[in-house]
This record gives sequence, structure tokens and C-alpha cells, in this order.
Amino acid sequence: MANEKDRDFSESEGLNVRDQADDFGVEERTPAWAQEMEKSAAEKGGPSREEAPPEEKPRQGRRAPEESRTDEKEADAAWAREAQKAESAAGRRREQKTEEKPGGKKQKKTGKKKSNKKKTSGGDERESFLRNLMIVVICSVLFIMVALMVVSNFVNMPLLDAPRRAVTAVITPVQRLFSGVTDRVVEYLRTLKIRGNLEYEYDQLLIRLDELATEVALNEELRRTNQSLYDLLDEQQRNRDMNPVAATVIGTVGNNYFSTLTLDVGSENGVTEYMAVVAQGGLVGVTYNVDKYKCQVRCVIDSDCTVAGLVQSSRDQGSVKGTLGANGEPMCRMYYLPDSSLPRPGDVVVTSGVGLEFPKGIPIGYIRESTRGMEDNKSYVVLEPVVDFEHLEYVTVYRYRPTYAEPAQARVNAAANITLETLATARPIPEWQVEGVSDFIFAPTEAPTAPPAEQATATPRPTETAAPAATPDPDATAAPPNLEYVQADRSQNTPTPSPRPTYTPTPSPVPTPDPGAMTVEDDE
Amino acid sequence: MKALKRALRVLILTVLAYLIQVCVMQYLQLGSVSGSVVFAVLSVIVVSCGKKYAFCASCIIGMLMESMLSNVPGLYVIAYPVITMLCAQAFADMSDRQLERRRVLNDNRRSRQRENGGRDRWWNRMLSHHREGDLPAHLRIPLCAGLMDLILNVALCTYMYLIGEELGMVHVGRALGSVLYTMGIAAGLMVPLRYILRMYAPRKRQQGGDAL
Repeated sequence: MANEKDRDFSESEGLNVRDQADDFGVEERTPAWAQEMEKSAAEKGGPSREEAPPEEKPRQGRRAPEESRTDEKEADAAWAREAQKAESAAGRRREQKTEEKPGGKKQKKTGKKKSNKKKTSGGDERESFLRNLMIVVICSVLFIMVALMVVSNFVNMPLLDAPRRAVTAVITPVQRLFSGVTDRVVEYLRTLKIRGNLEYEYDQLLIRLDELATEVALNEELRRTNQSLYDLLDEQQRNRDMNPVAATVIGTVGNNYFSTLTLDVGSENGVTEYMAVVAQGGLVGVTYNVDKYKCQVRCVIDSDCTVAGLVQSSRDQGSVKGTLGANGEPMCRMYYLPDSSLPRPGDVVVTSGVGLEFPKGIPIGYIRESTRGMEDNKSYVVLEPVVDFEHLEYVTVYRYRPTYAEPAQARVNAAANITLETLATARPIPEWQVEGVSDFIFAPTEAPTAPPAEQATATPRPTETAAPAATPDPDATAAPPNLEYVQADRSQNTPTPSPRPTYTPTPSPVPTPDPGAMTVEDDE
Repeated sequence: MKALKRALRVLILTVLAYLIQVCVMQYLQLGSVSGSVVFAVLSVIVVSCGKKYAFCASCIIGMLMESMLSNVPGLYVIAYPVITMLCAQAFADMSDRQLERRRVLNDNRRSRQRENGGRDRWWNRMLSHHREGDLPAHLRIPLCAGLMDLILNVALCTYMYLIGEELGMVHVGRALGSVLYTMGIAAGLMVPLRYILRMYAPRKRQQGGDAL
């Protein structure tokens, strides 16, 4: 019967395939020769394998181990004999079935039935023989080659090394080709991996970039806010006498004609109407419509806002008014300047403090256009405000109140009580009096007194100086007895080299060519 | 002709296994342990095609290895056929005659046990010589591949020991890792390889029921 190794599906039609049964979960079938054997046993009336369970026909007694082994051998021999018989019978029956198959190819060729039958049986045998022969030959060749290769390791003969050389010659190009393909695939996969890593890193960097951009924007916003608040604080500190209060712009109304702001401070914070609102070092406007917790600001570019101004350079005063309602530009115009005044573009216009309870000197704007008197009916100059009204966030409200002057009578009364005291001076004071003012008396300065004369003291007498001691004699001291003077030996010293003059050769005279003897080449 | 086709398929698979082993497996190491595609393919051939095909394939593999990667003279050309045939004895399909013999022996053993009132012990049922059929092919292939790789690793470790190397747990660990890796390769390759070797029925025949 066919085993799994001998069964190819193309050649195993109608046969039982145990391994296929495993693969497809189909119940294993009994081999055909076993079925045949069971069938013959049933015809003879004997028990078949399935029909003779040990329970139904129990064997009596216990067998010895030798008996058991004998039984195994007998069983083997019996099964082998009957298997051969059954297989040959099954083969014959299969051939008959193939011939008798209705609608088969062989029935169509009715005239060649006998020859086909012979061919089939003969072809199977021949194919089996050839297959076995081929397998034997191949196995033998391979075995011989293996043996030769083994022996070639120990015996140095070119003939024994032939299989190795043949295998090497055949497999080397194939392996080189395969290795090249493998290397390319591996290189491509590595590239993909690197690319994947790069893409991952790129994505991570993009995410990081977004985070940093957001952080930078936030920092920029914080920086601007910090700068604004710092400017505000600085402005408040520098103008502490104007009682400033910081405010945040919580509303803006801007259209073609009016420009007003809403601040988050009100009367609760001490804000009243007509107070100056400044930002960025310039005047924003004046407060109006003050509530308890908010107030509104009319900007200087508003058409309804009029502020007394002063040209800082010429001290010419005028009235500054917004132009939003006039031509839609966020500018100011300065009216009522003296006729003789013609401000220069770029001059600063500040508040004059006239008329309103404004502190004096707050910059309003710069003169941008000064053509007053040059054009018909033009009685103003154009100012460009200092403040950027498009980007107002924080402002300062000056809760400044001017100190009014005392009445004139009170001033006179106060002057009547003034006591003037003279200061000491070296110059003579005239003796005259102011009429009507009895207290106003100039008294003469006391005359200077002479300084007291100093008394002269007697000069002390000089004292005598002691006479100097005599100079000691140098020969009075005797020389030591063992003292000898030894002349130094200078013979071992190297003599001082005498300088040798270096002679330089006298330069040989160079003949000076005669210009008259020189020839000149003609240009061609 | 059909046998020739099958032999050709086995030859191509064998050469391909060798090429993959020498060219590709160096890139597929797991923890510096490389598996053996050659043994995986040989185990599939052992279980699916039988001992003769397995012998031929192992001889070819041995000669290729000996010719191209000979580091120990004569080792591969002897080891591969010998290991393959050893494992084929254990994992190749049993012949029908052998199967029937086992069936008869088992029937006799059971009947004797029942006569004596004994029970069929679990170890008797588990022992291979009492089993009536082969293990499933898909179980035998990884086991066969693992056993082949284990024998080769034992041989190589023995050789290393004989030339003076000190063997330790590192060698044992690497050998076991290699065996497991080879078993995994065999488990992964057995289905496509068996399909290539025409071990699965075509779909039409399954539906018609003529194949079995």
C-alpha cells in the first residue's frame, strides 16, 4: 500500500492517504488489503478484527512470555502473507474497475481495450521499476560522492577531489547570485529601517517644534505683557505726584466717527470725569461717564474730544481735536494757533493744562503736516498721536487734581505778616526807610574792630656744639699672622678670542651700457 | 515523470534551504543564536517524502556544506546524512506492515490485560511502541527538526571539547536556543513546504470527496 512518502496527490487517486486524513481531519481508513483480508475472513466465517473483541471471546489462562512472543511472530507472519495476497487481489480488482468504468477514457477507445489493459499493467510495473531504479541510482551516486569527499580529506588525489570541485563550480555562481540578491534586500530593509527611524525622529521633531513654537508664542505674549506692565509701572513711578492708577482696557468702541474705551476702574478707585488717561508715554484721552467700577475714555482722535495743547518748541498754544469724524483718519488737528506761528513738522505737542483739570506736559502727538496758511481755508496743523490706539491693553489714569491759587486778598493779608530779616553784609547799608512800612528798617552794619597786636618774644641764645673726635689711624690695626695672599692661577682659563675682521670681497664693477650703443626693436 | 517532478521539487527546496542558510540566516539571528533552515527543510522532507528522499537531500546538503563551508574536514558531509537517517528512523511514516503489526500486538496486549482483569496503564498508552499509528505530521516535523539540530549541536560541542575548549552553560544555552529556533522555523515552514510538495489535497477534490 501507499505510504505518505510514496503518495503524491497526482498519483494517489482512489487510495487511502493517512497523512491527508490527518491534515483534513478525516477519519483514517483501513488499508484496502486489510479490508480484503477481513472480507475473506468473514466469508470463511472467521472473526474479523472489529467483530472479535476480547470481551466476547476471552482467552483462557495466562500466557507465558515465550508464548506471547511466539504469538507475535505468528501474527506477523500471518499478516504478512495475507497482506501480500490481499494486495495483489486488490490490484487486480482495481485494474478491472478501471477497465469497467463507464464513460471512462478507455471505454471510448473500444477497439483498443485489450492493448490498453496490457499497457496499463505493464506501464505501472515499468514505471515502478524505473522509479526504483532511479532512486537506487541516485542514492548510489550520492553515496559514492559523499564517500569520495570523505576520502579526499585523507588521501591527496585529484580524482577524489573531483566531486568537491564539481559541486563548488556549480553552486558558486548560484550562491553569488543569491547572496547578491540577499544583500540588496537586506540593504533595502536597512534603508527602510533607517528611513523609518528618520521619519519617526522627524515626526518627534515636528511635535517638539510645535511645542516650542507654542511656548515661544506664549513667552512672547508674556514678554509683551511684562513690558507693558513694566512701562506702566515705570510711568506710574515717574509720575507718582499725579496719583496714577493702572487700568485695563475691557472694551473698545471704534467706528468711523468715534473712538472710546472702557476701563475697569471707576469711582471706587477715585476716578472722576475729565481725568487724563495716558499710555505709551502719550495722552490717550479723557475720562467720562464714570461709574462705580468702570469708566469710559474718549480718545483724542475722537471728533468730540478737544484738549488744550501746546507746541513744545514754540510754546504756541492751541486746541487739539480728533479727526476721526472729519476724514476717518485716526489723527488730530490743532486749531487756534497764533497767526504768526507756523510749527515745523516733527514738533511735539503736549497738553497745556489750560481749561481742563489736566496735568501739563503730557505728549499728545507730533506735528505731521504744517501747511496752515498755505492752503485755502486751512487753519489747523495735523498731529499724529503718540499713542497706538489699535493696540491698547493697559492704560494709566492720572487722578491728578490741580491746587487752586489762593484769593488775592488772602495773599495780601499773608504778606502783611511777613517779617523780613536782614542778613549780615560787609557793604555799608544806607539809612533810609520805606514809607508806610514802619517795620521795614535797614540798620547799619557794625564797624569792624581792629585785631589785637601780638607781643614780640626774645630770640633764644645759641648753645655750643661739642668738638668732633679724632680720625683713627688705619695702620694701627695689625694684620693676622697666617694671612697670605695667593695669586689666582688663570692658566687653565680659555683665552679670550681675539676678534677677526671679516673680509668682504670687493664688488666687481658692472659695465654700464652705453645708451647710444643700444638697439631698439621696431614694432611690427 | 511524476516521481521526477517530486524529486525536482525536493532538489530545489534543498538547494534553496542551503542558500537561505548561508546567505540569509546571518541576518536573522536571535540573541546571537542562529537557527537551521536546513534541518527544518530536511525534517519536512523526512516526514513528507520518506527516507530515500531525505537521504538524497541530506547528502546534497552535506556535500554543499562540505564544499563551500568546510571548517571541520568531513564533518558536514558525514553528519548531515547520518543525523537525517537517524531521525528518519524515529519520525518518518511507519510502513503499513509495521502499523498492522502494532495493531495486532496492541489487540493481543489489551485482550490479555482484560483476561487478567488488569487496566491499561497510562504509561502503556503513552509509550510509542504501543501506539498504533504515527503522530500527526505537523507535530513530527518540529520534533524531528529539533532532534536533528540537537544531535548536531551535541556533535559540535563534543568536537569543541575534544579540541580543548571548556564547555559551560553558555554552550548548553546556545545549543538549546538553536534547537528552539530551529523548531520554530520548522513549524513556520512546514505548511508552505508541504503545500509545495503536494501534500495537501486540491480544493476541488476536497469538495467532491474523491480524494479520500
